[in-house]
Amino acid sequence: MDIDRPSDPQVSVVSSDGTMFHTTLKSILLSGTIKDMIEHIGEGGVENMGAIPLQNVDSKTLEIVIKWIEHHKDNIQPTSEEIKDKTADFIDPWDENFLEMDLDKLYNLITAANYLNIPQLLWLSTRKIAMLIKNRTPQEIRSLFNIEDDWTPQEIEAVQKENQWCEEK
Amino acid sequence: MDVCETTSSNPFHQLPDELIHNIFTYLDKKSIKNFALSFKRSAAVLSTSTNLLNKYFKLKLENDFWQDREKIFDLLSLRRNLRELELSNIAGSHNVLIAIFKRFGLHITKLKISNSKIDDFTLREILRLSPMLQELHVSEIGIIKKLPAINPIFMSYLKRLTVQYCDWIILKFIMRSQIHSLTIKSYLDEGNRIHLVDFLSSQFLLKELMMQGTSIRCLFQNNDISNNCAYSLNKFAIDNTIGKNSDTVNFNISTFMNLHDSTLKCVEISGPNMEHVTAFVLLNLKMIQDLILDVRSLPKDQNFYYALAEEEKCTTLQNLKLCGFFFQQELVKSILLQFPMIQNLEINDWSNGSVSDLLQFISQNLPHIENLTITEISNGEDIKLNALTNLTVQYIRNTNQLSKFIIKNEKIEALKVNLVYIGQVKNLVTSIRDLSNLKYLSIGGNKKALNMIMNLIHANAPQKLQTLELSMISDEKGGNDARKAIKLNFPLNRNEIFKFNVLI
Repeated sequence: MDIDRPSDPQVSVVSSDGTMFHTTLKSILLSGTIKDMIEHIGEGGVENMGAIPLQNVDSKTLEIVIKWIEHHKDNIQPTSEEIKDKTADFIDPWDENFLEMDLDKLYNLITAANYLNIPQLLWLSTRKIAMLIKNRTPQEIRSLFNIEDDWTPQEIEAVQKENQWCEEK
Repeated sequence: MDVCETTSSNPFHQLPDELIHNIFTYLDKKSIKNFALSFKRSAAVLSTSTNLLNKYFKLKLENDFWQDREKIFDLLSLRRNLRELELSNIAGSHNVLIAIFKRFGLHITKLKISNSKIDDFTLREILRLSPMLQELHVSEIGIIKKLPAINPIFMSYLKRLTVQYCDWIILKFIMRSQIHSLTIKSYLDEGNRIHLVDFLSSQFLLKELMMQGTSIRCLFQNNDISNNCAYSLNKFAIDNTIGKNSDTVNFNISTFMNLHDSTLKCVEISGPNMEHVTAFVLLNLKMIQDLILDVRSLPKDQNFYYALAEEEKCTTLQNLKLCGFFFQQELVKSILLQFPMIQNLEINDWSNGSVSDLLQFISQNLPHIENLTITEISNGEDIKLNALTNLTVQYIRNTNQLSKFIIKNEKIEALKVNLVYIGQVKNLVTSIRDLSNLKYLSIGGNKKALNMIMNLIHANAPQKLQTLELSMISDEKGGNDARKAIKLNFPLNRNEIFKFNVLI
């Protein structure tokens, strides 16, 4: 009977390392990838559907993602097109706080948000990286991300020369 | 997972190029350069992103460049393809210019040429080598005639053209292109008027026409401009700062607008002595959505106002801006009555008159006003504008009156006060705290006033405040920091407070 059906049914997802997580349909639909998948099955199939395997997301990252989608399940999500034009630099304090994590976790979160197609989460996490880059010298950026300096002096000179030609607007 | 950490297993390198590109898009110019210089991969992502390069960088060739053979050689060996090119004081030979356009022309979408003398043959070749051009801006160009005749070129992507103090022969080159937007800023000498008339009569897709200065008088001296008109304009703007138009010119402008009355959405009339044109717009254009009348003075003829009162009201207008000396508020009111559906209203009254009465009038007759910009607010205590969410005032004459007004209009989400004196700060901030919907607050003042505002708001901010914008207006004349502004995000964290301390 329709009346007995919960408005937001439970859904399970399994991480790449085999851990099962339970969340709700409304939350998981924030992921464009899973939304497409569920639309394929059809609405009625949701209850009989087994756990959804997510082979590209490990359990640590999935836990973080689920925390975010559950918090935002009732908010209207911008599409990736809308995100492109997004200029406002105001960030929800909850999100700001949520993003306080070490770089490794942040990379995994970005990759997961990209794979799961959650535009707002992808925007937040890549923007976080951008904030770390802002106002740092190339050397500082390298040490921040632990990247080796792979330029030869000739190459760096060539790039700097290119830059000289590019008048800033 | 790999136990051994090599460069390639650095998780940063596992991010796909697309995401690295995303990161770039959130950076400012300086950080873009630094990020690109930090390692090869980011540099590669930047140099393949035409979007980023177009947004922030352009190629600018001026003055000594043209004399420097080495620089010219360097430029031609550049790997990046930029979309925007600016040339000024061209002193190079035909061959140098052609070489530059052979190298970059194919990618250029925006070209600016200024302050130069150039022969018609070279100009034609430059345009021919830039087939993707969308915008062309020419200013102070003298064209030397070498060709026996000019064959117009068809530039299929050209949409926007700006011409300023320029030989009108330029219009002959591009006559066949169908542009969307034309801006003419320069003096138009009568001998060459025919080029502009010919150009306009060959246009079918023109949507926007903006004209400034004496070119208006020159173009509209004759009505031939309306006789051969195959396009229908959405936007028409005239800005005449010098002198007075003759009756014929005014009549021709009106006839011209009348021709487009079913498509015109946006009209801007600026300059003194535009009363005739203003009256025409108010009486006849019934489809407009945006109207700017920056006209110094409104029509004085009493008969016009009688006629206006008889006219059917214009319900399409959403945005209205009125600037000038409005000694007689009755005139402003008669105009406002014509547009009952306005949502955004800006009244810049330079006569320094009191607007109290006007506010009362707005509340009774214009129920849809969401954005209101007004000189100042006095006697506003009992006035409520039901839809008002954004309020801008130039200055405060009486803090109590403003406070009472904003408390009464508690739906206000954005408040901007362009100038606050230190003695007014405390009162203002106290009343702002009660605005439970306030998300955006912008205040201008001197250093002391801003400091005080920051301290008061920091201690006890309105609940929903997201952004505080502070603009510093220096007390000292000619001070270096004459105008500086910052935006602070709430709730405040250390970074934001640091930003403020840097400003002050």
